[in-house]
Amino acid sequence: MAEWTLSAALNRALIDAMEEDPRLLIYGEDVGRLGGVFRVTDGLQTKFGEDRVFDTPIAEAGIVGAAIGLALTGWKSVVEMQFDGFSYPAFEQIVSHVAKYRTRTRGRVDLPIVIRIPSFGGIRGKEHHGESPETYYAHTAGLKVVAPSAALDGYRLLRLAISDPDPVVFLEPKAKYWAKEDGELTTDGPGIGEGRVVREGDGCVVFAYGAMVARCVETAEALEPEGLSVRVVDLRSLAPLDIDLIGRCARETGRAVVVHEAPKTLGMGGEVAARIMEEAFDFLQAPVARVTGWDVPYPPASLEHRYLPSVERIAAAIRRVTSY
Amino acid sequence: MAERVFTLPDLGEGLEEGEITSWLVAEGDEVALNQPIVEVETAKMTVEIPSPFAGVIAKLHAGAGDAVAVGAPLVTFSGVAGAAENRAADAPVAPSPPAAQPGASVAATPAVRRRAKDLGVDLATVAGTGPGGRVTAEDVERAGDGPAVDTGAERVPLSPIRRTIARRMEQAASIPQVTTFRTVDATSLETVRAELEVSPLPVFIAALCRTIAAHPILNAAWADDAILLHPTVHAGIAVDTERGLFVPVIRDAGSRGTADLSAEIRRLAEAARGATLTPDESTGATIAVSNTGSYGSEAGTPLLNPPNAVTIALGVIEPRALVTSGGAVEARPACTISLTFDHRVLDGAAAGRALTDLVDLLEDADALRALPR
Amino acid sequence: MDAPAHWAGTEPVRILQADGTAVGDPDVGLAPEQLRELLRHMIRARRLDRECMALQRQGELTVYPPFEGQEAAQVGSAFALGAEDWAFPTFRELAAALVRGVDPVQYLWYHRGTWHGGPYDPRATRFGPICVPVATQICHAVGVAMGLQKDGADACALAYFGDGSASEGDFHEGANMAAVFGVPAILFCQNNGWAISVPTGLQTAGEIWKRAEGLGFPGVRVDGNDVLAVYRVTREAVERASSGGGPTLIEALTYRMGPHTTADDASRYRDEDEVERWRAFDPIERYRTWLLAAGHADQDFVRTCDEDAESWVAEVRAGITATDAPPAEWMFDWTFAEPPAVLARQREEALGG
Repeated sequence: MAEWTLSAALNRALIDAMEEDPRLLIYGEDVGRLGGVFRVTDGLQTKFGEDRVFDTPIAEAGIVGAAIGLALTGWKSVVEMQFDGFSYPAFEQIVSHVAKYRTRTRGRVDLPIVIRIPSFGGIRGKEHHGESPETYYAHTAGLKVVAPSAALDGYRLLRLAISDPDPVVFLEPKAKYWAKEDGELTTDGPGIGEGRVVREGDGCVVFAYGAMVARCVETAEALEPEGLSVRVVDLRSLAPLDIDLIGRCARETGRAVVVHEAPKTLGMGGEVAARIMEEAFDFLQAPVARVTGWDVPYPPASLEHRYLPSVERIAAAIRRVTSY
Repeated sequence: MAERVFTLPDLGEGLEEGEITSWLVAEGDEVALNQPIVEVETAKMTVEIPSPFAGVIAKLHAGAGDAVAVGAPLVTFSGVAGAAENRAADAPVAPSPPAAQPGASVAATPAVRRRAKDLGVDLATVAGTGPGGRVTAEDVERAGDGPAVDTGAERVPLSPIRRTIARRMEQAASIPQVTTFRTVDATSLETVRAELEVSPLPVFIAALCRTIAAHPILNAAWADDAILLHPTVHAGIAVDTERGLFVPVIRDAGSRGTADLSAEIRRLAEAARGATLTPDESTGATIAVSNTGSYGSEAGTPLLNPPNAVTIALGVIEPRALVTSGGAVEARPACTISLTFDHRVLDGAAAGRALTDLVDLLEDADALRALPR
Repeated sequence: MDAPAHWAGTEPVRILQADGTAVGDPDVGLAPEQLRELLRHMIRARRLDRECMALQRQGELTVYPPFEGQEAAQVGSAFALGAEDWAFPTFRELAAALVRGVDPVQYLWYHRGTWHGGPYDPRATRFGPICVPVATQICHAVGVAMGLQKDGADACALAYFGDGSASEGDFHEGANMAAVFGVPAILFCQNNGWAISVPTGLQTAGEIWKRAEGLGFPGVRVDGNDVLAVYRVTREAVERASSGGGPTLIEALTYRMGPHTTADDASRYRDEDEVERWRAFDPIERYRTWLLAAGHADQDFVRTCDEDAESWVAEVRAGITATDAPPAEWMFDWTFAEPPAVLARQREEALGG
């Protein structure tokens, strides 16, 4: 059994994808010689050459726009936006073009582009380095949005994203880049559009993604002595959401909690809660609880622990819905 | 060769109308395709419209200076070489209703679950009669009544009034309330009421109003963050009708004499039975009075009439064996007063003190005679 | 007469001046047949442009952005591209689209509101979809140029954009990346004097073609109403690109004779006098004058062009006015390669199927 960090698993996914498809390119700021500020592209330029793995000027809009042009000439791209907060300069290209090109050309033009974005908080980072931008992208029709929570599924999701003919925004929880997982890397398993149950239970279900999944599992384990049986679901695919899994888990348990770092208002929790209402209304024994970041700009490192959903806050929500 | 009607297009991104500045052609003129035919002024600019067809101007639908709405006819052309009309837009489509969801656990809406919990009903034991086997509110209510056994009972459908009364009774029953009883030597009451030629109830109400003056807590209501003490007594009196129980209101009972009270009670009772009570006569009670003696009840635990803090019932006046002040047992007219109070507003002692004053008054013939007539 | 404000500064490359006489060498390497083709293209383009204005006033097109006055800039440059080359328009390049072989009815689907971008295949026509977020298409063209470079293809990508677009960040990012990677791209700016109501003088304090020098690649200024000069400088840029010489920035000075679109009232911000004065700089006038004087065409040819344009435009009119609204399915069918379950359910709900 091999031990993988998320960073190493993603690196491996890029290597395997580059070997499989000679028309795959990897580019962005500092991804070439440096190997990426989180080392996710480490060693790739040496292995595959500067024609296929290259650094670009600081030009996020230019990078994403170029990916569109490259797709038109039959080149697939994995581009990197260095941090979540720095994906915004490319927002227009992503929303006005990447998301719409296939529809606009009535299917004639595929954009097999993966936009990798180190995302979310938990690393006591500077301003703009802990953003949760997933809702902006998930709300944009024409984009797929995925967020792995750990190494093995990170490998799977990145391989799937690269081979998807549709554009995928790939949000990597930077707080988990160095977290380890034992196992074999494989693309077998749930696809894009599917969530996965990472911990069984039938008293209540907790939906989460990214770095919060591990925290929810930790919380569930801590509550077991209280006699609470908590199921944890890694949503992993935010667009499209796995509505069937969400509905089934809500119906089976009757009690649901959604956890995310992003601010509460108009976060994924609202969407999941609405879907639960649509799919499982008659089975609900408690209102859906949301444990989220506050509706404030992401705080500085010194207050980050007061902003992110903590084990205590998650546990309180689980207790609330199970005793309703 | 056909007639075609040309309507005013939206010339500039969301305009709603245009004003004809001048016509460049007249009815009867033959025009070529794209020949300028009219000048139209819009909110943004003045625009010359070229003819969409080659043909003859059959009719101009507006004059210079007229406003024409976008989409309204502008010009009818005749003699137009026919091209097919554009097909209409897709027909609107109704969304299909969501399918019923199967599930292993019991299907019941959150509201029904709450009700089951309140009734102490285990949903798993209830057969659901709703769509997809869903347990409905009625299913839960029936389950709350005990096991469903066919006893050959006749099902009497609920009238709207019965539903409303039931709902109000449920609401009343959820308030913490206590009833306290007092036996009254009704000799004085009977004597004075006979003198006044009224029934006991108006005299009772007059005495009650006098008691409220000294014990305003009887004429109160719970308001979550305060107790409201009403300055005026609007006495709701329970009236039994064929259709159900009504509680019309004697407004400002404290300012009325016993004769007035008697007349008003009769009037309201008739209106209740005749279903002619006005909203004003049906709402606004500050205390509720029930003449349970009228159908022979000796004592009872009348329910509160929310938001009133007190319901007071006058039981039947009939001979009882009473121990008099001398210690002897005598047959005297007597009755029992049952006073139910909202225990958030009053305590037993306060209720007891008020009742003592009321009973003292009712047992004092001179004091009763002194009440306004 | 004086050239208008946005032409001030560096003398542009010019072969034919406004009155049709040659001040530069008119031999741009085209045979007489091709020289006549240039005129035919410009005449057809203008005729269609005017028909589109009428079609909009008749309610057949929703909003239409006319290009009258810019025929030489678009025809001259598009004509210089090879069959394997790409062009990326903004929303005013109908003349260039025609030269590149895009079907006009399909192009006009955009303006009829039938479908965004039109149904033509960008890969087959090598002509990008109409692009309204100005300057964003520059980055797309640069990406194509990067792809062509990686494939070692003997081809280039040209991005059309206006003086207004040159203020956008995407112009800078695209131009900078094109220069850094040395890709076969041509950044073709039609400086037509106006971005809706904002004149070029308020758009930039410098001369647009000069920005290339700052970014490390060649720029050139050309009289955009002189089709021969436009052809020549574009051809040079194509050759530079194909020989690995990297990108070129071309600033073609021209004038937008019409309003920004049919929803714009240009009289609110400019004099009708100014527009009339520009008639003297008309690209078709000057070229026809020269073509006839040089003996490459006669009046018969010109008349044939006019007649052909007339009947061709009638066909386009017939085609676009017969274009129906598309089926509602189209909203769903191309959002993704395979519709996810969630979207498939919505599609059913929307279509009642």
